[in-house]
Amino acid sequence: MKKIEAIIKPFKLDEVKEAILQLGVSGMTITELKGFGRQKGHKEIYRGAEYVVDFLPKIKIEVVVSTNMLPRVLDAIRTNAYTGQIGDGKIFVIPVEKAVRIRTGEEDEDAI
Amino acid sequence: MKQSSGYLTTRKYADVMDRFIRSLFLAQGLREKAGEILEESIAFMALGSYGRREICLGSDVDLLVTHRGKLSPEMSEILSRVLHCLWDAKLDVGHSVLTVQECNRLAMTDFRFLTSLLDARFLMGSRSFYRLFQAAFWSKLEREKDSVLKQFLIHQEKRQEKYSHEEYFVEPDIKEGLGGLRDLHFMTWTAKIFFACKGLREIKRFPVFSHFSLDKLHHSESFLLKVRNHLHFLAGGRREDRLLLAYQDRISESLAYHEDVENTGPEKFMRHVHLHLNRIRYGSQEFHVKAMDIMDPRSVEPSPDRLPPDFQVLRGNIILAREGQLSQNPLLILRGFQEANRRGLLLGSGFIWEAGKSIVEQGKALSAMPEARSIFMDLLLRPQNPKILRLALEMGLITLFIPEFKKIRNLAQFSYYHSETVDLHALKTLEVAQDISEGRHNDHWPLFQEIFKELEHPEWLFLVGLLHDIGKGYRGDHSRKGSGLIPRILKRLGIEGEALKTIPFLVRHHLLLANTAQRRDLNDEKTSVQIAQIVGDMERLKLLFLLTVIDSLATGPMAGNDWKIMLLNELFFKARRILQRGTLASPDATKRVDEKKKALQRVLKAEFPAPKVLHLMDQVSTRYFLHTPLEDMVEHFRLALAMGKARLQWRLQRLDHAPVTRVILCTYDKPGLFSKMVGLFTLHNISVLSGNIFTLKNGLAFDTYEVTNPLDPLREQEVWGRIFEEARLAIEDALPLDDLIMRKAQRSVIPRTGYVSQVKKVKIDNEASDFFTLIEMKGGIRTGLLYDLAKEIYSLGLDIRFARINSDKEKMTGVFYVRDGSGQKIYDDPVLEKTRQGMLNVIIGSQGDLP
Repeated sequence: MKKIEAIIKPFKLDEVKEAILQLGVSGMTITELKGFGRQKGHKEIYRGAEYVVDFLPKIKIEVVVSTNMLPRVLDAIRTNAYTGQIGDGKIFVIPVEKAVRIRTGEEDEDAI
Repeated sequence: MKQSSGYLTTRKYADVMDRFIRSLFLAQGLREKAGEILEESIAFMALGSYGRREICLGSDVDLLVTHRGKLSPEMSEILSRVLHCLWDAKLDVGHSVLTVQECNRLAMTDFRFLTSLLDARFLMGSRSFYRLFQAAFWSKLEREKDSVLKQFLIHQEKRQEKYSHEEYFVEPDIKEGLGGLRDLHFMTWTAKIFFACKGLREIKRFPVFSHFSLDKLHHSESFLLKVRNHLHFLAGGRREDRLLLAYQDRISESLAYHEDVENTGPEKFMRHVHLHLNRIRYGSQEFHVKAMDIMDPRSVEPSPDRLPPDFQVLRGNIILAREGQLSQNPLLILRGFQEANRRGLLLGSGFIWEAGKSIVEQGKALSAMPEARSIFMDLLLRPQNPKILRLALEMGLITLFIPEFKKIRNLAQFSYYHSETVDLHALKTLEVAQDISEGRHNDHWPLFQEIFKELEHPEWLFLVGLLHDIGKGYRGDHSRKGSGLIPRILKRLGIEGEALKTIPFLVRHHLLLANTAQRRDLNDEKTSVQIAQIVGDMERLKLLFLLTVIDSLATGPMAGNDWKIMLLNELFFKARRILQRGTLASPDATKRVDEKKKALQRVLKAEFPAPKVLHLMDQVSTRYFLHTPLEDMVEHFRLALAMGKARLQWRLQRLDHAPVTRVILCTYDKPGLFSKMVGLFTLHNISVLSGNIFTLKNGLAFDTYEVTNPLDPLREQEVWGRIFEEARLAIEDALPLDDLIMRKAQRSVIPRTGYVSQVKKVKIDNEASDFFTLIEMKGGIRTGLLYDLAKEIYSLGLDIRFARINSDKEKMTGVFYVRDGSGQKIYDDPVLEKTRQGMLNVIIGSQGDLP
């Protein structure tokens, strides 16, 4: 099992979500957060006052999938989150040791 | 169970429970004449809700057994057997066996135990021992009053904090939540402990509470108990106190709330639930304010200056100087509200009671008085005291002047984001607007107050905050519906003029900015252009922005968090710039673009399927539509839609009246494309007279060049054919263009006109757009100028997205819209300077690199 953490542009959430769901992945966790990579922030000036935007709003999607599904899910995320402009984001893959469904006690592949 | 009141049911159930428990004891061998009872050394009591005779199906049964010091073995045996029977009956039984001293000690350390003791009721055993117990308990309480009060306040605060979260408004906890049964318990306990009352009703003895609407509260309590019984029943006899959505459906059905044209059954049911919850919530607040006044009184205040003689101030409340005024002079109602609002005070209960009656009896007459209207408007537009506005809502004052408000009274919102009913949410936006105007959000977002201060009509923000959701009581799109209701409402309030256009517009589009900021690519210029086109001018943009802000902040932490506001700010800044620059989104431009788009669709309808045409139009920027003649657009579209696998297509138009060929080109954009095309033309001795370059979102480029004809008129076709082939190679980087040009320059017999140009100007405009850096240039015409410029831009690592170039006999002018390697405009000052210098050098022309 692998955990995918993808940081994407906010407006891409619906597309990526739909794409992942269509692959049969049943759940995901979404977080609103701020960050930057090589896309730097900038300053806005309004009536002489500076408003610095240094952290940019992003969305993090976390989803745990079975290892054989991994390539397809990665591809779906990348394709749908892509705009070609800086700030498209990154995807990280982390190995998962164990998973348990709280309600039923099912484990590992049965739990995701 | 359906017909009876909540009270009756719970009382009946308690009676049944009493009989059951007594019979169990008797069955297990307890005789009324048993030794311990005769010795006055034991008493059995019901505690908590059982003590109050308010148990519902799933409630706990709390029992207390007090004794003198030691329970005999027989009694212990009887007790344990009774408990077993109760557990076998699947009842949730809690029990304690304590001496009187142990009880008192425990009560002082365990808050829940303390409160359950407050409702203790004798079940069986020795009555005199019971009376002894009560005397000891209550005298202990009297001594510890202060610490008990502190604990009360702490617990209320914790409850307030826990249950303020949005999920508790959609699925309220009718026992512990805000306005739930717990509020009534706290009122009763307060009355018992601090006012020596036996029950809540006795509080009316105190003059301060003489007008307190206890009957209404009890009615609401009864309703909630009824609902709670249903809940427990549906939950299978468990104690479920949360009105989950699934239960809402079923309870509304079994309580016969039927669907009608405007609301579904569950919606009507929940309106009632919220009506009662809100009533208890605010009644409880009023109660505690009065109670605190007595328990912890403030000294009498001198009358503040300029208070009209009809009023006085007592303990922080506005009251009437003389009773019975309001029936003769109902205008005083509004004045009272106005004074309380301005001074941050509340209204005395006597005033409220009289005003309530007066509103019912003389409301219509009052609402017709112009002076009443203007005071009402003053309240709305300067909401300094939010509690007063809520009171005005509760008392029907707002619905008096705005009858349309009735539709959203107590209307719950079944959504993930909203935590208040619609009417309270509307008032909350006014509160937020007031906060912004007073700078209370400046630590976080100083921008808001800046913008507020610039508003020409700040009062419009308050009006639209109040009315933006007024369409929610109806079916369908509430923005549209609400917008339609506004003119009528405004006229009735005496508002005319520009507001009648602007405010409906704002209501209509109050979700536009939030939706766009979160769902569309803010990096795409088109997004901002479209917003600017809809909004139309800066004043509206500011109003709409602030409206979105107050709506989000008033909705709750999900909608009004920093993250969402950051996106909103970004959209505001970008749309603002487009509006201030005027060209892309002016009404004139918008109209022209619209007309051209329609015309384009008409022409292409016969040749290509409409969806394809529309999809392609979506990829193209507004700038293209603005600056490109219709005929050229048609050609570009034809080329693009018929391109298939080809990488480059063009159409040539040789002009009759001038030695000019127009090249209309469609190809896949690549870095350096422009310089390659220009380079090719240069290679073949063709000069570029003008050029327009537009790159599309999907990676295509639409270019239009006006160039001189090939030198040899006899071999024109051949030359163009060759250029086309070479272009196809060049765009795949399969042509060594630089070499060829270099060699040509070296071979050239005709000297290049290398002179220091008199005309030279390079201006980098980084303020014109959020999306591009603009390079404006002017330079003396020379061979290869454009090529050199293009190459320079390319070598600086910049990408040309749009360009417009024109030339006449002497000079060439051009604007290049560029982005850096990462797809953004240039933010780095040194890079900007380097760009400017580089372009300038090209224009000045260096004699150094000529052979």
